[in-house]
Amino acid sequence: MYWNNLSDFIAMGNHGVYVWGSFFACAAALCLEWVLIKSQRRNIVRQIRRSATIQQMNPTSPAVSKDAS
Amino acid sequence: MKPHADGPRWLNIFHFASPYQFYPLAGRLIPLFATLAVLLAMAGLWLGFAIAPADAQQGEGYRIIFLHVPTSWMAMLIYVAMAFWSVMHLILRTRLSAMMAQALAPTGALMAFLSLFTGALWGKPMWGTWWVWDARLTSMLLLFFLYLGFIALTRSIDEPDRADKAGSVLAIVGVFNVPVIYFSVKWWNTLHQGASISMEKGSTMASTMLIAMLLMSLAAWMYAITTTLSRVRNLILQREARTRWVQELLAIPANKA
Amino acid sequence: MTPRRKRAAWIIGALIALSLVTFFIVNAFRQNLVFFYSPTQIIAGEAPKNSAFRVGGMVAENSLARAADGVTMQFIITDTAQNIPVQYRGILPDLFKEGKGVVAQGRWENGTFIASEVLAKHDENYMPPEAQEAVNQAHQAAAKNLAASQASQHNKEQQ
Repeated sequence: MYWNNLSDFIAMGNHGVYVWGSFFACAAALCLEWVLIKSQRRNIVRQIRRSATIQQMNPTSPAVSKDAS
Repeated sequence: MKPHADGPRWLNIFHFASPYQFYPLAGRLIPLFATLAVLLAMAGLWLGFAIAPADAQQGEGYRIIFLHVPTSWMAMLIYVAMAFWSVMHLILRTRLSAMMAQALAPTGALMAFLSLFTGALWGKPMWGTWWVWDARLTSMLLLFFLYLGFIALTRSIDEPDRADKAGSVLAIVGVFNVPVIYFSVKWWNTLHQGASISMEKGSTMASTMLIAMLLMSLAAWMYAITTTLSRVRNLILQREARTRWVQELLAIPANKA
Repeated sequence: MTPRRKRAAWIIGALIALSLVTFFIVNAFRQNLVFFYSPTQIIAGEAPKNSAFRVGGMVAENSLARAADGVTMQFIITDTAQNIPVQYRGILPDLFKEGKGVVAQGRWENGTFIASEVLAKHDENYMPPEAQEAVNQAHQAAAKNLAASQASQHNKEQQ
């Protein structure tokens, strides 16, 4: 282990702002990208289910219109 | 593309070129690459931030290298991969190739952005400026804009076939910027220093620092593969929404006649 | 030729054409895209006369001094062949050191470079301070050996 104490580790030789700024920017960006991909997937699945339901209830659809008449 | 009748199916590379076959394969691969990315990043961060010594010139501030170099390499590599899939798409007309290129682009843009961002945070304390218009920094900024242009172009065209084709052409034209970025520090005099790892000189880094940087780079590879596979699955679902297999996958009851 | 081969041929042709175009563009920029001028180029009159430009090189050893007004810094940028005296009022970056790389922006006025911005240019070597110390000592030892061997050769010639 290179560091003797936590405060030196955080200070990074007076360059803490730059080093930790880079670190947290990268960490935040990558986590955000992952969350966005997951939420995009949920949206797509929801959209497909909704349009499938609409199609099934659609009166112009041959199967349904036959039942309705 | 249909697999060959004779011979094992997995031997046929076109077998997985069909979105229907590739979707479950990608799903199985994602946890593997995600785990590798996390493990490699933890090892690299530990080595780079806790074990590696300070640098003689730059003190502790040099540790930004463990984030800056992997993101920069990844930004360039992803663009090359994007161009590769674009060539494949134009020659073989496989839809999946174009989807791969489009799945790669956002991660590439993010990597290019992080490369510029960490570079600015590194340049301020060491060089004395956030930004200069030297050949290395400018060509990297151009790469970032090429990614944004690719994303905007492919999303602005509604017709998937035309979007795929236009995007592929842009990706291939832009790939010539990548060697310009790489060699910029050799061809022009720049504020940015030369490469620390090169064919002729080997490495000019102490071994602990070098290993930490390589571990972080491998982690970036694994991360990029994970996000790309996840995104390509989203794209497949979106484009194949009306097919029977997607409907069955999502357990949508069939429309009874 | 199958259609697929035809498309492949077209794309390979386009790639070759594009790489040639890139080559010529880069080649044209190689002469024009100058981030900084070396002291030799400035002394030879290659730098712009009436506008700001950058000079790059090493800060000469033992050249850093404060001017009489107490604010202006003076130092010499060298490329070992030519020297450029520089004046600068402002804060020098952390990595600014004698014997290290530097890039200064400013104007060339009556044989002095009046800098408006001074940037440090570091090299691509990364090593712990102890290793740097060892390298420095090795360099000094090599220089001493060279001097000693030259001296002994000189003595031999005299004999």
